[in-house]
Amino acid sequence: MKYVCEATDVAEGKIKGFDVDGERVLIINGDNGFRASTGVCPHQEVLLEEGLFDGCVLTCHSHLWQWDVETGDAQGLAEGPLEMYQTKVEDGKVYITIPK
Amino acid sequence: MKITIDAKNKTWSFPGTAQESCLQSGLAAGINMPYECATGTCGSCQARLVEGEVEDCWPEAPAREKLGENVRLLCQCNPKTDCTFETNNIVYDYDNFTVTPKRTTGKITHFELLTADVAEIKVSVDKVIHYHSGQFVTLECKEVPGARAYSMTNFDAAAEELSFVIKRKPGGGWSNWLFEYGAGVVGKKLRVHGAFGKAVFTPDIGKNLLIIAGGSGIAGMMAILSRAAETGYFKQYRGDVFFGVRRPEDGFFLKTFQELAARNEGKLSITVAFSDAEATEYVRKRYPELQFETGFIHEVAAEKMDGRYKNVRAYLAGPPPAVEAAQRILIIQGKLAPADIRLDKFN
Repeated sequence: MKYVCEATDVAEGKIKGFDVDGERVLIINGDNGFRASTGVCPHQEVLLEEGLFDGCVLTCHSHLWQWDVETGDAQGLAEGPLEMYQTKVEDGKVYITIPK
Repeated sequence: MKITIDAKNKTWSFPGTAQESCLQSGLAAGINMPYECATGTCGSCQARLVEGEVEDCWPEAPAREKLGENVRLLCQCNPKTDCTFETNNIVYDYDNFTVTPKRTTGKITHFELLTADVAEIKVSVDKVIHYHSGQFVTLECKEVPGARAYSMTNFDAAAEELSFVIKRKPGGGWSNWLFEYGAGVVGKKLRVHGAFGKAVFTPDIGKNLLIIAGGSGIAGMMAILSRAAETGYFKQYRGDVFFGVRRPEDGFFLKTFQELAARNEGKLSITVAFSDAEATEYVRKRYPELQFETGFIHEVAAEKMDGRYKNVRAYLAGPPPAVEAAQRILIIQGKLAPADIRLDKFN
């Protein structure tokens, strides 16, 4: 797994983008803990860190595509799922696995 | 012959013939008449005949049995004279046309300064443009390269004259061209292309309206309000309008808002928010039907809409930061589904 950030870097209920091996990823501190996804909207390559987050549902600000951050499943207008990454928090540090 | 339907929200009139049922004539005229089976069995199209004579085409129709005195099935009666019916239904009209963008030409017929940096222009078009309320067209003139998108402020299903509001923008080629000529632009020829835009309103959406608009973004919203008010939409659904400008002297369309709010008896609430100043006594007294607040438009809307997002369709327009902030509030605070947030992006 790759180290991304300190857990304290992303406040509860917030999202933040990071670069990991040249790829933008989104770290999500949601209602059920830390999750991670691709940092780029699958629709039109907009950065998801500029989106909206209510603790459960992530919304891309550009065309309002939405996903459940527990599963990456599309909601509402979204026409496809969000690629989610395996996430682990250990000793206050957030790690993810980006599939090759 | 003239057929009149006195519905709960509005009185509609349309032509009828002895060969066609009142229901068929109404539907053909673009009125969304209440009906289901159209064949005399369900009773959905019942209405009380209050004036005139009709031919009862099927007196034994199954749905006739339970009807009261003078109550007829609109699908089973053809007019013999002008006639008037009363119905307890809310009845809207259809936007019974297809919008596909067309090119035409036109000329500016009117220029009026609404504030120091906002003007209204009217453009008569050589071919009718069909559009839904909330849509825009692009305008081009030979003096300035490129086309500019402007939303129509008026709604007319088959418009021969389009109205726009233009805000003067620093460095804006089109707006500066207009403002430098001033009333001298009247008579100038334009190329017109449209209509475009997805943030449209038609009465069949069946939802409370929420409009949040800053500055000249109010343009398309005026057409939406006009469409809704003309069809009696606010007899059934609530309307909340939030219009933001910097200072009282930047306000425009306030007289129109005042008239709309007065006509709609509390179902249409219109709030004007000034971001940089308090409302003056003058505007409060002159527009008593309007509410005035100080603050950014999205913050004012968030406070007043808290807990009132049930069955709401929102329309947003204006400066991108205000639109994005409003969008955030609607999704996070209002939990509105994205399909119920309509905006066209111009940035």
